[in-house]
Amino acid sequence: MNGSPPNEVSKLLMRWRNGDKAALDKLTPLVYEELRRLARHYMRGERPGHTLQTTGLVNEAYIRLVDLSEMEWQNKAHFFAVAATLMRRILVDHARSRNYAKRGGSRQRLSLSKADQFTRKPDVDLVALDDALMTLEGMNVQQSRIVELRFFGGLTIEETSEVMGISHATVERDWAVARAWLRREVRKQR
Amino acid sequence: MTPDRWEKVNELFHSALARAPNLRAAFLTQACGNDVQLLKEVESLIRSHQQSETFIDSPAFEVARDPAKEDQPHLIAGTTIGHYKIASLLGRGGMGEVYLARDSRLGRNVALKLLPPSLTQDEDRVRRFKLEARAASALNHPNILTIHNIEEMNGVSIIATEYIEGTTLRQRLAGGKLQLGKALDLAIQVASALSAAHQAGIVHRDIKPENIMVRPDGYVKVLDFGLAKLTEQRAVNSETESRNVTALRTDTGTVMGTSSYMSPEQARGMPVDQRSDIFSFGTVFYEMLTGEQAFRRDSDIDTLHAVIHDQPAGLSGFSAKLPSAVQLVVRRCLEKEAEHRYENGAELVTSLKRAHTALSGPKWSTWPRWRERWRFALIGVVLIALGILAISWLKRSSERTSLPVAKGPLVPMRTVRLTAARGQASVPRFSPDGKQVTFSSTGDGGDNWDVYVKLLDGGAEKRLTTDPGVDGSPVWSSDGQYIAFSRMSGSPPGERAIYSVPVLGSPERKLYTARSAWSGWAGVIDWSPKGDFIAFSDTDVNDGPFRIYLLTVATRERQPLTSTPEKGANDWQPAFSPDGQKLAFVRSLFDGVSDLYVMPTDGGEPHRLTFDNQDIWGVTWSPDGQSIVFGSTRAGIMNLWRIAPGGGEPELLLGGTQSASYPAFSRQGQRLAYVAASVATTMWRVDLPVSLGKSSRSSPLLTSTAWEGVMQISPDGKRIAFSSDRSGAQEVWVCDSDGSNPLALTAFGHRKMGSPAWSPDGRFIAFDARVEAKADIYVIGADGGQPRRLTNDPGVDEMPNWSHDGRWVYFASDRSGDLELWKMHPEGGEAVRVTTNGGSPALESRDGRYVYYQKGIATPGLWRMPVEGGIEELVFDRLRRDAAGVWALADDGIYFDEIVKGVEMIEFYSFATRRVTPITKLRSLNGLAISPDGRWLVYANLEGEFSNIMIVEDFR
Repeated sequence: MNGSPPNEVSKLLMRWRNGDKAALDKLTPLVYEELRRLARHYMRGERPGHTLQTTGLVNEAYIRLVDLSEMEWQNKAHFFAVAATLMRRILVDHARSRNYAKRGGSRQRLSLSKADQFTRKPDVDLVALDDALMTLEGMNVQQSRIVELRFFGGLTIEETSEVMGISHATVERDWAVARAWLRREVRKQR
Repeated sequence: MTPDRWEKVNELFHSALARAPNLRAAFLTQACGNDVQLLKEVESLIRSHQQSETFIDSPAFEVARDPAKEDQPHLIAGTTIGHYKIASLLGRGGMGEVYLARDSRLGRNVALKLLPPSLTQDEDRVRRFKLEARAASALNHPNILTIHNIEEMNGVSIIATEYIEGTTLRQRLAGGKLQLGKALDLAIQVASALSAAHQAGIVHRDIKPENIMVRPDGYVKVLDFGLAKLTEQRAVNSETESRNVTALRTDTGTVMGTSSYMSPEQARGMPVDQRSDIFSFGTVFYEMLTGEQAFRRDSDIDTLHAVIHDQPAGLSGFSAKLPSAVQLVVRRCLEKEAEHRYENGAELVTSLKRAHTALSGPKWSTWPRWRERWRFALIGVVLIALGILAISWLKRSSERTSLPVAKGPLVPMRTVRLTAARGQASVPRFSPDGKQVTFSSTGDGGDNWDVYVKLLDGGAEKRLTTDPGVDGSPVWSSDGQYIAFSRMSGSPPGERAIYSVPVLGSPERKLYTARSAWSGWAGVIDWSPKGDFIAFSDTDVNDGPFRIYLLTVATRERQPLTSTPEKGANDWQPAFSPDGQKLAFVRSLFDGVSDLYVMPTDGGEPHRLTFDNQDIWGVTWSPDGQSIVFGSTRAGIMNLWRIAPGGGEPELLLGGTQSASYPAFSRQGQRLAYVAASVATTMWRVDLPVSLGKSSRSSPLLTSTAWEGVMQISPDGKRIAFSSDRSGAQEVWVCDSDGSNPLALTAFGHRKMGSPAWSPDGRFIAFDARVEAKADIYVIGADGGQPRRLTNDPGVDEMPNWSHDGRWVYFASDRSGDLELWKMHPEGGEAVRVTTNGGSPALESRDGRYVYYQKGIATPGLWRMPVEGGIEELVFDRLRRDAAGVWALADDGIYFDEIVKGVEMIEFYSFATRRVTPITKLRSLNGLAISPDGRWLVYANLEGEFSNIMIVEDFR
């Protein structure tokens, strides 16, 4: 558990929810470490047994850091709110370093008999998405935050509306337009 | 774009989308007026919006995976890997890709699974995966996918399995729920695969529709046994490890399994056992019946939360036609607490089949043998018994959770669990009015057996005794006011006595003090139907043979009933017939070599009913006195059998692949109580030397839900031979020294056997088997083959061991009248007597100078004498006299076990210093061996013994 007992995170979340801003400062590094560790696992492909659409990394961090039985369920959303921002940082940093390596570095390949016969999945350009998201932030902060929570945090519409304190309908509308815009922008940059 | 401009774009975007598609263009043209840029922008966004889903619709961390490291090699048709030629891609999943390939060596089609390199970097995991996968495949079960080969090729791990044409259950379910008969048929097949695996100590851990293949002919194959091993990690903590039953955890950072099908304990990242599979099975069965996933929620975290806390939507809501028996199976599988679920696949199969039989329509499409086996248990199963127990069960299950429970109609039950304590419960008896059951139990843990009473219509268990002694075999007085029981290891220390206690509680009265304190089966007593006698087992003098006595309750006088004709034979487990005229009892030549007898209670010759030489656990009469029901290993597993009091061929009554013992009938209702028991064993390795004051480093080699132990390490240190009943009957098994590749060496089928011993050249294994009543010594090649019988004496020949030069096989034999040590050349010939004053299992020192041995149950201690004969001497007096086969001889001392202040320990006694050093704590030793180089020990620890009392309602 990386030295951070679950109830410590639970307590900090509780304090933060009750308005203690200092709790967030203490919470962030704990969550960040855990997420980074999980993200490393993810990105190395150490995720056997999972189908892509069902599992969220932040969910896992939450399960690991927070004792479910001791937590009020609403705290989950607040945890995710922290985690989503951190997740974005971690993943985009990772993507940047990978893109760099791609251009310069060599890469180890599987040594099956005929390496040429292997094909690979196209990469998703998280760096381009991050750039676009920053542009969006300049136009509408709320929409950019919704994307962060939904895309990087893996939150549902309901959770997003709960964390941000805005209506369900607003989240849906903003998400729809932000998503349409981001899709187009990322495609442009390719 | 400025925020204002963007705001405008947003407004138009939503307004346009709110209109019908054919009106949007006109609306936008009008709304944008001359602003062509604005029009273009909004139109472009709408087009983007209408696109099919792209990466942004799945969370970032899922699209961000590193393809360089994660991606599978995609093989193209025609590629050759080793002797496999790829034909086509069959599918892909988290555990790799599967191809249809041709095995050019054997000319057959195989399914080839390529494991992602990330999964196979940890050699230890790969080893454990192989172990389980092979073990599961070796079960040769028709519903378990056969694995042909697991190998490394060019750095890639591949698994070649039989190729199944068919669809996955996932594909089947894409079309919605299954028809009930079909669902049950498939479920029974899946459950029987689990049953076989659980019997062998294998837990699947990832039961889900993707792992279940359905062939066009309806046959089911369960895939990927053991594969979940690759993602697990063992928690090793030398302080606590020997106390953990299975300390398997999911890897850090991984909540393993597909979340909708996980068990609550998996979702919590807790250790899992076979009951986790039962839960996962329940979710799959639920989905088959309803077309819905029981715990599927919007996000994974919600799904996990639901798995841990929520009850699934009631089945009756989906289909009013679902029989309550089916609903009950699902509910029982989906119990949040593992101990409330079916104990294993075998129990599940039983219930599913009952539910299936209750359907009038479809019959089982496979396994006609089952029908035969279960005929008696299933005859006339009409699900009517709206049992009070069912109500209490439902009540309990709804009280356990604060969340809403889907309350269907009260469900009639066939078999209910009376006890669900963490500890053990045994030897149930119904009160004369049939309303209560008394039993002996360790309560919620610990080792203190006490007498309990429980009302069948609910309510808490009432504990009648609290003495630290072992209180067992409670029986009712004829008026139901008292319970008599036997107390073993009572006070004064070691005393065995029969007590009675009022059902309403205290005071206890001592009725009889036994002459022999020795416990075991001697503890089983019975109270005559009229209440005048208590039948029990005792000796004339201490340590003499046990026979059945009758205690006249009024006068406290005892009179012998049986006289044991054969030396070494003991009589126990008396059971009065309902009219009190006859008494059934068990005559044992040795532990596990028993048969059933019946005799008139006013004396006369006992009549032998069975000729099995098997374990018998529990004897009772049917209420009409027309049959005797007993628990027996006569078909391998402890099952309930029925025989007429006049004799004949016993018929299987209940059990099948699950353990059932200690039967008891209610006198008026048709209720049958029995004990469902199971064990868990782990073989541990301890590296030597263990330095003083430090805890030993133990690592688990092999874990199973079987009884195993009495092992020996091969002379080259590379293999371990052991006894195990993981295949049902006890056999000799061999595994690698790291616990991998366990293989059954013998196939005697259903006889007690074991005590394997390696020849010094490692080519042969000697062992004992009780093919006839008494054991004989056999020799088999270490790689298998046909066993050769070495001894042929009508007496007992057991516990063989080789001399250091391989010229002799030592064994214990009673051929001279007493148990002495004998030896014989491994090729056969005359047996030579070694000891003259008592001798049992022996080991020769490695230098060939001495032979070390015990003296049987009567004389404690370890003794030795020069190999060439001579004076015997006592080496060490602390060896337990029932420690046969559980000590190990090193060059400088012996390893043995001892209970120190209530804690069982393996210790080392040094010949040089005569000091005893603790090695490790454990729960209960099943076997102990040292490697030939003296560098490591292996011991088998009975990690857990579980037994619960089950009640079959409306038994016929």
